[in-house]
Amino acid sequence: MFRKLALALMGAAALMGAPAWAQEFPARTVEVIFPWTPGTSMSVTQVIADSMSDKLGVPMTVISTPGAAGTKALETLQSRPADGYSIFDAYVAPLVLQPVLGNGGWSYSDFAPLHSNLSAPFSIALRKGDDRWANFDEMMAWGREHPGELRYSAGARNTLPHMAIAKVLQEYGVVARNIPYAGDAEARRDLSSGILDFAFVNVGAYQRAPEDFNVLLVLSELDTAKEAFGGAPNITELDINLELSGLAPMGWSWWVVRKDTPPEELAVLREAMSATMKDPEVREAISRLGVVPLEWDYDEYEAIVGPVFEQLKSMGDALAWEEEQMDAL
Amino acid sequence: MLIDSLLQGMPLFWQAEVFLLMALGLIFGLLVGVLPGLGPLMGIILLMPFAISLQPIPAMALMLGIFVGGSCGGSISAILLRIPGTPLAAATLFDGYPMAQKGRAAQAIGLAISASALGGMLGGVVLILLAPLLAGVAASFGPPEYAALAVTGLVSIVVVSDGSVVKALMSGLLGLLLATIGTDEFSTGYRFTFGNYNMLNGFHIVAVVVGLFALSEMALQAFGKDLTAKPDIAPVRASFRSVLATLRHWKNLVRSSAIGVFFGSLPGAGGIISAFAAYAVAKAAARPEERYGEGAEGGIVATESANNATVGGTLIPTLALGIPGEATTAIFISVLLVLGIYPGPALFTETPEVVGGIYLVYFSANILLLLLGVLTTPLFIYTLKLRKAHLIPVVLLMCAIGTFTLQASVFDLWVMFGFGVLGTLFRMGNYPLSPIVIGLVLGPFLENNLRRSLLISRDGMGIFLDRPVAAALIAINAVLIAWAVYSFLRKQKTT
Amino acid sequence: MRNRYIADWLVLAFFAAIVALVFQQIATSMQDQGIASGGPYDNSAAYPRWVAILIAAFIPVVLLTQRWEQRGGEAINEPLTLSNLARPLRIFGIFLGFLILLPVLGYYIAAPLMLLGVMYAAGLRGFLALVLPALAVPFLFAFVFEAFLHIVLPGGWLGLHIGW
Repeated sequence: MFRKLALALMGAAALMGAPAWAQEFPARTVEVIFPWTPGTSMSVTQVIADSMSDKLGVPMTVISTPGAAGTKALETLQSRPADGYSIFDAYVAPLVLQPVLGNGGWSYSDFAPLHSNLSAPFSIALRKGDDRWANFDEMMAWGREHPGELRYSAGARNTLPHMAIAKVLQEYGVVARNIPYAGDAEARRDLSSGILDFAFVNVGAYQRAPEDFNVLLVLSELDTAKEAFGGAPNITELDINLELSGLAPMGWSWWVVRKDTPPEELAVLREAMSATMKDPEVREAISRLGVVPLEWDYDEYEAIVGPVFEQLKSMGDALAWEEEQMDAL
Repeated sequence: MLIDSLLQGMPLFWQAEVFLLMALGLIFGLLVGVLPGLGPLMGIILLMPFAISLQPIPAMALMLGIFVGGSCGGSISAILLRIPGTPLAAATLFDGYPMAQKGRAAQAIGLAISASALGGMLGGVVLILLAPLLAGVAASFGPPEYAALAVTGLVSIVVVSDGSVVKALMSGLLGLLLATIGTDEFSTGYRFTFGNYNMLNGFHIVAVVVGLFALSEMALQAFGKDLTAKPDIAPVRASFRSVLATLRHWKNLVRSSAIGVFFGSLPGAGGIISAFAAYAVAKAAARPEERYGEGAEGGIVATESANNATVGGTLIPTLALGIPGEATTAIFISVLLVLGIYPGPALFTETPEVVGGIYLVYFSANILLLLLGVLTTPLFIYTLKLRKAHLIPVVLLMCAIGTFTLQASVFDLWVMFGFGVLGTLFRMGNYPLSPIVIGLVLGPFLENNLRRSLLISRDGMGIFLDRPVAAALIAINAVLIAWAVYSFLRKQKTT
Repeated sequence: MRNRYIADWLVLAFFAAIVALVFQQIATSMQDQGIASGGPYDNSAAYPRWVAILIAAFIPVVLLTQRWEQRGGEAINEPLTLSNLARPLRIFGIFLGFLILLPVLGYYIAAPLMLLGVMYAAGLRGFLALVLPALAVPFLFAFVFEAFLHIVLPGGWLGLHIGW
């Protein structure tokens, strides 16, 4: 009975147009699972998906499933079949940071990478016209004398920017009050109205209104990042060693699929994404959105992400330190 | 300066491509607005990959067309089916549906379209003239002001509610509680997620709204005597005369549009709140014989002009500061960035022609909305002539696909179903549903700004009294609450 | 008429259960996560607790006032007898079955079956009136959503997808 029904339906499906499993991969829309709410970062994903869709010959849609610093999106990928039709835009927060913080039982090596995607360097900035401190060291000196009085935002709590800023503050022995915000724009609004003393500012926000910010420190070693922030000082110019290098202090992302995806499908996706990320038009469009397009192909995943995992693990105690110090005040 | 940017924008704007895309956007916007579950945001997200392949002004014509059309389209299903196609139109059904039940569906839709178009245009005037001023006021608000403003929004539930004040409050509180589900922004802990990853960001508001309103409506319709009867409705078409009917309510129109622009310019507030607030004010200002809630024209004019004027309002911080007020404008900013345009103060000085072009696009989109909306109305009226036995399964399927589309998640379908059952139960018990939506929207706004205020404050709750604007808002809230309690007690006495 | 008050009691029971659930979750899950106490930075429990307390406080007020409350036009006009409830329950039972079977059978099989079932339960008869919409509507919707908007509808265990 069921066999007959299934056969009849297959016949009907064949008449309507061949079903997905009868054709070469990909035969239908490929979905990209994006871990944040729609906004600039989602546009980057859209740009890449749009160009990659031309190369694959099927539509690609980006689905925003925010929640728990990207954990929901990661779990969504894991709940999908490993058929290459679901890609996860794996930012550092869900991929590496959540396991480091003990909030997830997975590891970055549980996924098969396609290609690296973007890096989003950020800085610590004051609002324009705030001349209480001439440079970062002066602000830190003031902060040491007034524990708990500086207020800052790193966007959401326990994110990569928060971790990096907490690490810097710990190295200087400065206790400051972190104020969490869901959206960066809200945090920048409270920075400009004087409620916050300093805040993390990413390249996109800075380039849109450079006259609004007084950038004290760029949290990146890359020269391109320094340039993007109008030549503001970066972490290599500080007197102390922050043990922050490479990609660790920055937000970045790789596109990954489930590890048990069949090799043929994986190869098709890798080739398409690699060609997309080499496309000068795509790189230009991504750069205009205020992030840096990355060049690392899938075979460099282990070599790049592995050390970041180790560094973040050693940075993990900065957040705990901040909480202890604030509680002790 | 102002005239200059409009003149410079003219050549970018005056192209066949712009008008074609605008018309396409409006019709698509009306469609996603009418379909329960989708909305302007979803429509804009869906066409974004196409938009980034265009020039900036044609791209904005498409997007603003969707935004304007989508902000109006929800009213059509609210009026005809008692289902707000988008949460924006939830307040429109208060008077729109009773009006349609009295055989005045065409007039109701005509009013909704005219009020949307006129409200949108008024919003455009304010956008152009008062952008710097309004943006300045909103930009100086901090967490204490936003927390106080959220309470004002909640108290307005009491004013809006028709039946029992207490039941409305309980619905609103349930909305606040539902908003706490998921990851707490402050502690980063999980609340009420029961170990299910689908709940890490709470329930999707659209799944909740579709379930509460659309499914419960289908359930109540299924109680009807004969579902196979073919309703006998004369073919009616909306008329351009409804513009005159709308203009008769010109005070209401101007006031509601002003409320819409104001809430639009506040980040995070948005069209839902402005529609409810405008309705509450219009109802309070109306004469008793206008019978709000039983099909008053003013009710439709208030909500529809307000939610479309909100579009103009949201563009103020979006263009002037580069700050998106909500998700839809965040997408706008993204598209502009991809196209090499940076919204913010520099936009006005460096590329005034783009600013002028966007103004012109926004204005003409509202004019075109009137034309296209009125012309396509007979198409939508047609849905009323369907047998309920056909309509119910089609709407159920529409709700299911629309909700699934949000995050490609089967879990969202279960949320929708659960809230369908709850909505039916609430309506049978005479509990209003809209306060749940208001609570859900305002919940994170209230809790996060409250906790943020306390973190910033060095003397606890004192921060709310130290800041003059926050203190003033709290005084207003106190007066509103006192008034609500007084009217509640008086009502109890008389019955 | 008295049946209508069943709904009132059910809603109040729902609110009471919600309040109880809030306190239960604070005492268990939030306590375990260490987010049930402390200042505004760490205390996730204080705000939902206050909202729940407010709800709890309003329950007796509703109990006292709902007897005299005037009924608006919202509620159903039909008495809630078992025979009146049968049809809505059947329709929603079919819809529930559709939601359960959607991931299993896929959209292209589950949707026509659901339409067919609901139309039949709603009292519609006649081959054309039933089968034509049951086949046409789901495919029209699928076309709009899949071909035009690039949504992927559930394929089910058979992996039924149409490459439009």
